[in-house]
Amino acid sequence: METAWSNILDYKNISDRYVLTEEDKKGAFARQYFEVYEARVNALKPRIIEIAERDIGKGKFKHISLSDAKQDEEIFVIGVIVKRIAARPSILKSLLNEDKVAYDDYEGDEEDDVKRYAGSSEDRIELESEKQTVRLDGAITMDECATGCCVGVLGKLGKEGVFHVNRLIWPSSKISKKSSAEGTIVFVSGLELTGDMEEDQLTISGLEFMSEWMNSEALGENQCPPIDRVVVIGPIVETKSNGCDVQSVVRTLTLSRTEKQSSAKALITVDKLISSIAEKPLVNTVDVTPGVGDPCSSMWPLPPIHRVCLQRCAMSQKKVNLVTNPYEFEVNGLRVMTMSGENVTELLRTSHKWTGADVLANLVKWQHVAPNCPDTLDAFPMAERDPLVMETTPHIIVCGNQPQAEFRRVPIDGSDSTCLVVCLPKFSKTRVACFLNLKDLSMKWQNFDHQY
Amino acid sequence: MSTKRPGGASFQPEVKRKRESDEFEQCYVPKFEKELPATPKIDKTGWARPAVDKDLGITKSIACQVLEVETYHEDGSATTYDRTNVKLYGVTKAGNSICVIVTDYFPHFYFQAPQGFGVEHIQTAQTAICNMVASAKRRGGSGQNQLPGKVVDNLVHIELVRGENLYYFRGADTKVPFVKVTGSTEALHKARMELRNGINLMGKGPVNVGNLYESNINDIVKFMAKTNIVGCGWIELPAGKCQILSNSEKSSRCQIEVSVNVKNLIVHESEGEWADIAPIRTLSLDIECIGRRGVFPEAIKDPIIQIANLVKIEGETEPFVRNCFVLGTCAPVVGSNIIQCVNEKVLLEKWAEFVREVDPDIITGYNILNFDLPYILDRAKVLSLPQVSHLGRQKDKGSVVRDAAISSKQMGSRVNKSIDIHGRIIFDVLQVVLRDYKLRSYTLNSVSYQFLSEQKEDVEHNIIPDLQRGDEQTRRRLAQYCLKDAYLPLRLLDKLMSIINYIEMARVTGFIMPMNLYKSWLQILSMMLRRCKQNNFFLPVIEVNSGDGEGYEGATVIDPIRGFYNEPIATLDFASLYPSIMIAHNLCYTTLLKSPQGVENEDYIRTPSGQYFATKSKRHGLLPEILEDLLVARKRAKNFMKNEKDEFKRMVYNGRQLALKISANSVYGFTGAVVGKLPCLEISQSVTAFGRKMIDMTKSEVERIYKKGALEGKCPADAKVIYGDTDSVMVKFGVENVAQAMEIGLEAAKEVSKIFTPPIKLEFEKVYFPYLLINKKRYAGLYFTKPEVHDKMDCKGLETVRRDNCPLVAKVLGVCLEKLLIERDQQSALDFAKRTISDLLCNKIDISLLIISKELTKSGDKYQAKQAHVELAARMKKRDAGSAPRLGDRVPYVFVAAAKNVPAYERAEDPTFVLQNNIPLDTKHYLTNQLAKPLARIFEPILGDRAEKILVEGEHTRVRTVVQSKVGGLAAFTKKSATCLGCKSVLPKMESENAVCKHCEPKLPEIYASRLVTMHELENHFGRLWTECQNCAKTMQDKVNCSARDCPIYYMREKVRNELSETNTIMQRFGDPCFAPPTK
Repeated sequence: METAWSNILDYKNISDRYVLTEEDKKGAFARQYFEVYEARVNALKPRIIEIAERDIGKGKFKHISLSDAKQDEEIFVIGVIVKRIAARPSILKSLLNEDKVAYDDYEGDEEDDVKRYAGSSEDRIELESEKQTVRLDGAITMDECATGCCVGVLGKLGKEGVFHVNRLIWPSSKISKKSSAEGTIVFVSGLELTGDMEEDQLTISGLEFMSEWMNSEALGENQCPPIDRVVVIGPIVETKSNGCDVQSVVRTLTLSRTEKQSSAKALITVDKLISSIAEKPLVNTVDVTPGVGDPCSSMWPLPPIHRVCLQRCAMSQKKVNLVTNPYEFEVNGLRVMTMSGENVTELLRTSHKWTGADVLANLVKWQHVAPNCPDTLDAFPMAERDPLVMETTPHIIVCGNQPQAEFRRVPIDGSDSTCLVVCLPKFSKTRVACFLNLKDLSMKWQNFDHQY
Repeated sequence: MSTKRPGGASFQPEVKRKRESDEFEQCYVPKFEKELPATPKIDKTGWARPAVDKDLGITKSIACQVLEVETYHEDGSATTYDRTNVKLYGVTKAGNSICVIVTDYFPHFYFQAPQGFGVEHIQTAQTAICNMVASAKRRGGSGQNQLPGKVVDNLVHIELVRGENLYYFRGADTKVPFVKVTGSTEALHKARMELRNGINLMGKGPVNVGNLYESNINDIVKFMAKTNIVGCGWIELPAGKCQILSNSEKSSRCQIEVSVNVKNLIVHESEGEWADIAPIRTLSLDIECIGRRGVFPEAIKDPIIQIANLVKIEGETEPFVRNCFVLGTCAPVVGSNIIQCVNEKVLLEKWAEFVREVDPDIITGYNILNFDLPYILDRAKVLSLPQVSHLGRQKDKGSVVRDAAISSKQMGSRVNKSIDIHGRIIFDVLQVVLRDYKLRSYTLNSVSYQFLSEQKEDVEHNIIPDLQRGDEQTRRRLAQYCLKDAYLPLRLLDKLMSIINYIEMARVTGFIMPMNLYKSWLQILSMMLRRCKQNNFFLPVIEVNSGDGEGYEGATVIDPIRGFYNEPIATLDFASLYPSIMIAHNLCYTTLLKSPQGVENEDYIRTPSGQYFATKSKRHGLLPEILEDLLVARKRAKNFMKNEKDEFKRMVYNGRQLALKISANSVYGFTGAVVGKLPCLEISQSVTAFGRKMIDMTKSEVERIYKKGALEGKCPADAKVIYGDTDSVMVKFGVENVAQAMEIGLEAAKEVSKIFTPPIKLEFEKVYFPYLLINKKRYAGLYFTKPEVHDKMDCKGLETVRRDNCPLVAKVLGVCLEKLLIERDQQSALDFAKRTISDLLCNKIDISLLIISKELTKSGDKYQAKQAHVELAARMKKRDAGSAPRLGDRVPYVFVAAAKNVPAYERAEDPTFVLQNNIPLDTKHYLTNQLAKPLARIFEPILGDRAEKILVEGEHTRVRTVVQSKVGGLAAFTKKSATCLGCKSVLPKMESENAVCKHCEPKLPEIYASRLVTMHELENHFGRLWTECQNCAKTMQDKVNCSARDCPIYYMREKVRNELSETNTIMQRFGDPCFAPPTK
């Protein structure tokens, strides 16, 4: 088969598991979400045991189910973390105090920062394991876990269903040997076009500025390195909803909903912009990966943006590559993963300490791309499999739509490799793109704001 | 059926039935003999009560809080005589259960001494009555043997006392001789019958004694009044003056049983040290039983499979015993004790042992009175396990279930069960909530949602057999539900502070707690009796007449001047109106005059309704005294509450002041209750007549004083009373802001009060601004008690609180009122109403907002007219007997579109069925029959009489959407062919795979994007709703089985499933999202 893309580097799209199979789709909406958790535990359990055997020692711990636990005996249990946070949005609670919620709009997020949940003395961590639920205390804090994480805990069962944790065991991770490649990949995220020329002006001109610069052959200090591919991370159209818009349900039930506008106008702008980048001779390929609200399903993992929306791009279809979110690819053996960031934003709400990079480092530790999915992030009701479990840790994780630009090299347990995690701000807010040099994995943050 | 009879051939028809029942037996009577031991091992830590101090009663006096009182008969012998003794059950401070037997108390009744009856006749009379009673006893067959002489001679005792009939004032001191008859309850009963026929009292032939006094009053009430013991009050038994019974002598299961002479009882006022509450044990329980398909579990056939129990001490936060008795093997539940029982017999027996051992004072749960407890007792009977019915503290008495019809003004008539579990109080949370709160639904789920903002997973009866038949994990799931069902009532009691409030109510009125649940008149009677005893008034037996006695005029209403007042409206209220009228005018049984005597207004008064009462100078009435005491006590309780630091004690005082308020207000009703024990319409008529007069006086006085320019020019216009009702008047002072209204209001309350007899007093509390006055008893306003910010939105008599409408009505009205009153934007309120109506007609309203639900109380043929929900239940039964609603269930339904002349009851349909089959709703019915009237009502003051027309026929009602049904009518004959997603034109066969027609192709992105908007919303709803349910059920890894139909999100959750998969299929028509690879 002929390769669709002619790039310098050897590219391979390895996002197959994010694509829904016929089996996934069959009768999907008659399912409930517990099946996802089941699949998650099944996938991660052996990997947790592997680490437990390595770190605690084989035969030195008693791995049993909670229901067989006797009081004050040290046991090892594997289960799923549930953080019970009083401030977590709940439809039922909102409905009870509807007068308060229905009218004050939820978009009140501070410019670029994330609205975090207020802590409460009633907040607690629970572990659900084989249908038993215990409250955890001891060597575990709110800041090292999240709802939906799969973990092994070594500890003792105390009175009244409280489990005293001595030690946490996270799943093992696998990372392929790092290889090096020549070339640069550009990442931008959150174009969030509205279709209103005035509002979009800065974004459009910034993007045009960027594509021209990438195409300029003028030599000089400020020369653009050869670009192998541009990854455009969604949402490419502006959207009011976020991953856990409880209010939309409440509004429907309290009659206070407003008509949503379709994004058709914005799509025309997007279509033009992306095709204009792709048409430039020096740019090889543009990958378009969606965010929640883009013209595709809004349930994680997101399928690619639908081609009917990007009719101009269809002309240069060899160069525009519509991909899933999360999106994972390999160039010359280097694994890169991108995500639109709703997962991280939602996780940020649950802790006052975390920054974006902390969350990403945690995702690597938890070996799960979005543990909060489906709990606070709309998810496709899968059965049998959980595509968001990290089978192989990528060398680079780029997360879009973050409040601050940030990066960190996270050491991978059990290997001498590291994983580079990058938080990328919204282009619509900052006009910043990230130029990643594949050779030494160094980054360059380029600002394309005309105002400066 | 196992009995073998000869001639089996004739049993043909039975064979089939037998097979069915075999299958049925297999299903739910699984055998666990192999897996489980015959008797379960039970961890009993924490069950037993604390050990008893050996010195109690010998060197230390015993103090205990009295929770339950009962009387019992003790037969006489050669040395003693027949008695009616009293048993008091209670708890000591140390938490020991105690049973106090009070001896030497005899119930009594009186009759007026016949003419010429003197001390010399006492002996004759006593002998005469004793003999009559003895022969009546023999006739009745209760004593076949000759009664011992000692017994016969002492069946009753006679005394001569001075006293007076409670009714009518006859002069300052008109005490006359009365004969007091005392004896055992049984003897008194017989004596009463005999006296009716006349008895030879004075040796001169039969005398008719006329009306009896106090013979119709419950012995317990009389006992408590006599000894001054109040329900839940403390009593003390002095050391050495009581006799501790040894274990073999005990008649009860209490830790301590002691007998004491009535003379030696010390009774404490509930003050200071004695205001405390003993460590009362509350047991909350819930049972699960397994039902056959489509039938509500019947005790005769369907076994109990689980009983969950939680035991808590009053005032502590968490239960100290949590366990669940389970039939069959069951995986453990962390934090709870699972007791696996090999069969139902063992389960019930072990459970009964548990109850006896843990010895609770109060048994609670949700609907235990009418379901759980009777079911357990019935099962015990079916399985012949007499021990199981021994749940009470009485050793030799099992508990029995009786039907008790109860009717009261608040609750209407209903049949309840009555169960006596001797010495324990049954405190059903459902009954408490039913009595005290008006809710849309009374399921445990919806009540917990209201008060705890928490729900539980509501498991359908149908699933229970599956869970029981499964493995130890599924049974564990069931145990979890069961435990939660037992836990929620405890939480509710805590939250509503019911137990404390009821304890205080008992202390205030003097009557024991369990009775308080219903008979509020008994409380007043008990208070009356106590007061009468002190003053030697006797309560005559009043023949109850059939109830249609003379009516009397109710409270007055000043005709409202309807309108929307966008200015402050001050409200003047009479504080405790009816009690203060009774105090001010000395209205009482004892001051009532048959005809005026002396000088008007000096010796007597004439009430506005034409009755005469003696003034205070002649005699202080009893009722006014009782009321004064209650009001003073309330003030004191409020003071205590203010100064109390301890949270728990503050709750106790709060409960007390509430109880006092309720009691004071119910005295008036007591006098007006024709079927009650002491009706006196003269009093109640006078009270309301005074009330009416006062409202009118207030109106004219306010309008006279506060003319334009009054109060040094502070009044900008003439004051106008726009509305008045029962105990409040609404005044428009014409001022601009709340602060000014408050100033004048305060002044007016003080000034106008001067024309009334104290303690009648006007109070100024609140200002409404703005105020929407719709009609009598229907109004809404923004409620201010301080000038800066409003307290709440107050709605009276509007559909926002009514239950017989669909939730949409309440929601729309609520929002409209908020817009009108808080935002003060009439236009946006109207726009909102119009938009909702147009949404309704376009089918955009969520179905859960259109559901009406009614309880199925009796089967169809017992209703007089055909009712929508009854007809629907019958139809559902035809469709699937298993899931159809049963008697006692609430039936939710919606109205679906039908031909013109189909009556409303045939249009009702099950919402789930509607969702599954896409049946169109009768939106017009909702508009005209549900929304139109209430909306028109609130907009009438603004839009005038055309309001309804504007709303129902305006521009916004032109666009309508009609849904295509999947069943019925022509649905079977229609053929679906693919249409263009853009212009809806039918696609030619060749292109039927395409999403759009050729003409629409250029608009493809637009069409896709607009379809997407709906899909995103549905996806978001699906995600949020199902995770909400997962969170509510508190499990991530197990299926949600909830079928709580009154949960606001239930139908939405089901609806979104269908819609999302439909939308998804449509979206599939747009094809694969990625660009086709160039090779193709």
